[in-house]
Amino acid sequence: MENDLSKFIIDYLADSANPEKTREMDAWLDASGENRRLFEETRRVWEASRHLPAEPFDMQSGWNRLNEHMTQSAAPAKVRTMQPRRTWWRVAAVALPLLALAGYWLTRDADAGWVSYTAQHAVKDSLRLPDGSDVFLRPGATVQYKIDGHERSLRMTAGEAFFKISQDAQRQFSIQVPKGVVKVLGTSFNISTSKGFSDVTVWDGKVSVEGNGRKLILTAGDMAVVNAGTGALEQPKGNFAYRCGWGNSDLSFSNQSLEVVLETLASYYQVSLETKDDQLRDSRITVRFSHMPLDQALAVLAEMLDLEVNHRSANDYELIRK
Amino acid sequence: MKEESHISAATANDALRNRDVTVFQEIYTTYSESLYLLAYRWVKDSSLAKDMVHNLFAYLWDKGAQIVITGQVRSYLYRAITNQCINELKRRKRHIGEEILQFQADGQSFYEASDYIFFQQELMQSLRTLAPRCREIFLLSRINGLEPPEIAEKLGITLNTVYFQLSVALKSLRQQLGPKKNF
Repeated sequence: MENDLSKFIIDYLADSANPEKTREMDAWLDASGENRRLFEETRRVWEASRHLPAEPFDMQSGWNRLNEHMTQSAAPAKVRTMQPRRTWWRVAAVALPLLALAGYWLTRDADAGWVSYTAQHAVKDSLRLPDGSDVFLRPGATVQYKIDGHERSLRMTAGEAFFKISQDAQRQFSIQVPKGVVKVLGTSFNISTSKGFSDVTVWDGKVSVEGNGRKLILTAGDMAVVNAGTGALEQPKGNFAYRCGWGNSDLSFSNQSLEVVLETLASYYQVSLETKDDQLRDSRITVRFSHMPLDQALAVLAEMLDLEVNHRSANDYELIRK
Repeated sequence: MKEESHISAATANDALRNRDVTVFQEIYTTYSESLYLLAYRWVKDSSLAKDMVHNLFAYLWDKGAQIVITGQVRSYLYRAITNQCINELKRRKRHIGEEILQFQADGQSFYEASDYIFFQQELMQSLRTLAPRCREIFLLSRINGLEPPEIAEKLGITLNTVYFQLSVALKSLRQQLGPKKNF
């Protein structure tokens, strides 16, 4: 009955210039106050939905863009600010065309039993799942999960999160990213999802990543990349444990360039760390900062590479070779 | 619904003056989506609205020392983004709607704008509860502006199905969102 009513209202709203429909509608509205209330509420939704932006606000990428501006403007003129090198995942995140029209909305499924959570805190948000697993989320990251006696499932469409999954040999924990699946029994690892790619980096334990019919097994320090368009998997060489550092306050670098080390530290401590010395930027180091305050971390770096740290202003440091 | 974090004008002013990244990011996290929706209301263009939000926060960061916010932070930001949108529309020699000028002129319109943004956010939440097919049809109609016969053709379904799904969507949304609240 009410569906017919809605249809009658839609029919009118979609074609309100039609005099015959207007007459019919007026007569129906005059019939009762209840009709009028129903009509007003329906029309409000109908009108408001016309003003929804085709593309929802992506807080994470908005903040990243702003952050880039902030670090640039923090530096005095003429100094080359240390821009992160255009690594493939950055290019992918920036260069991928915006999703067409309503596409983004449609991927957000809210079936029965799924709970959705979006990170709200400024720097790092955390979420304890019903099975005791912990998820640490960067602002704007969104996850949906369904955890019951039979399954532990989570979906992630945007943002970055670090997972500490509790041991449960009976129930495998699986995480869906666009075109890929990550499966674990109990371990910790990081997932970062952008429109073009998702990357998975393992802190400890073992994780399987599946995409496009292929499967990769990752152990500590390994990273896999899932192409969000095709599901193709890639496994870049090297130790990427540092990508988990923001989540567990343990920044571990193994034979990484100072450039990557500085970029990671700067993002973790929310400061600007620069050096004008190209050779220094490329030097490779192995170092671990576990739950360490910034000045201690800088002291360790200075000691290792024989540097002087120039504290230029509140959140701005420059590294110079002695 | 999202819990509102309360950032006082004094806290915001201190953060801007001292370039406190943590508080600045909290301001961003709290208000950026609302500002995006308001900017979109004025400029009707997602990517321009996104730029407006970026420019406003970049301005706050760059000129922080000279900015003094009095009254509510939210009200200050709504006004600031609105002025920015007007300037941008002028610069592009685009039509400036009555609504936006009304907002600029009228002190009461802040409540209307808050109400508008809140409703849009609730609507986005409720949309996620619709069945995928139903939501797709609703969005094609409302966001993409397709007429029911066009939707039927595009999806290869009958016109009746389109009307049926639209009415299911409207009924569900109307029930979730309820009558207009007066603030």
